[in-house]
Amino acid sequence: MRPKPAFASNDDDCSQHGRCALANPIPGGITPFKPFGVVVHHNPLNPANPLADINDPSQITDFDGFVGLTHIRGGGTSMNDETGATTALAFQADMGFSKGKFIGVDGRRHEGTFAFI
Amino acid sequence: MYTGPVGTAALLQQTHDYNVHIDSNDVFWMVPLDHDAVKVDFDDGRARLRVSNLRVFDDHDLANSLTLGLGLPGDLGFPYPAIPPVAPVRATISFDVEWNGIVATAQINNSAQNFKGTFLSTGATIRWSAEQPGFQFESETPNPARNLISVLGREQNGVFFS
Repeated sequence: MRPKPAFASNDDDCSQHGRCALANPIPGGITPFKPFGVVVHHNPLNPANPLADINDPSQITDFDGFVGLTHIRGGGTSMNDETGATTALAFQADMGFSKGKFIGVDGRRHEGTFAFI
Repeated sequence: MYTGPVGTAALLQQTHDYNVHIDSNDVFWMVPLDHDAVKVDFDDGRARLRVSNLRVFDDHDLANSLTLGLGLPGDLGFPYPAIPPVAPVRATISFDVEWNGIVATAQINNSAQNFKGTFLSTGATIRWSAEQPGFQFESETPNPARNLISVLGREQNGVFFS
């Protein structure tokens, strides 16, 4: 199963996803379960590393804009819809965004906003 | 999501892993949004990402997410636990992430990775929820103390790095 790809529209508007262009990934990244897992073109934040030593936080290359990443661990409550039973669960949220200009796979300049989920 | 205590994220205790999968362009887990879904006030170290009712996949755990549902064998001498294969299911998530409060600032010019820019370490909170057949989840009240590390950047990479 495949989701809708990371698109952005030509030049200045990505609100209509069907008209958007594909972005390219950063060249680097990690393979967390090597040799089993896929290559992940993403550099996770590490709380032990100083800010000045972070790797590129963007997942999109040929990019000029704003990026945001978070690494948050918290809690919440789940509910089983059939029984109504509730359970306390922990979560880890590694999320973020990119918002700006980029060169798409078509070689043209685009502008887009993306969530990292 | 994990059955362990808050603050832990052990693979063997993971029960849900939400993401949008990797598409043919290999960009990792990113989905396009309307422009107004992300608001940035970089000089004040603030940003907000809000999305409602986004269709995603629940791959159960990170190992299945990154092995495309194959799990991990666990018996080949690799340093990973055995994780049974799990097929993804559809889910819907909503989230509101806020970056707020500059903790540190750095100017980076990294020629090895071809990126440069101004980067901020910030505080951050999240409120989010998930729904799928038979199951729903609501996160706790946003709590700044839950943030481990969050970063905002105004950057250029690739062909924009020079």
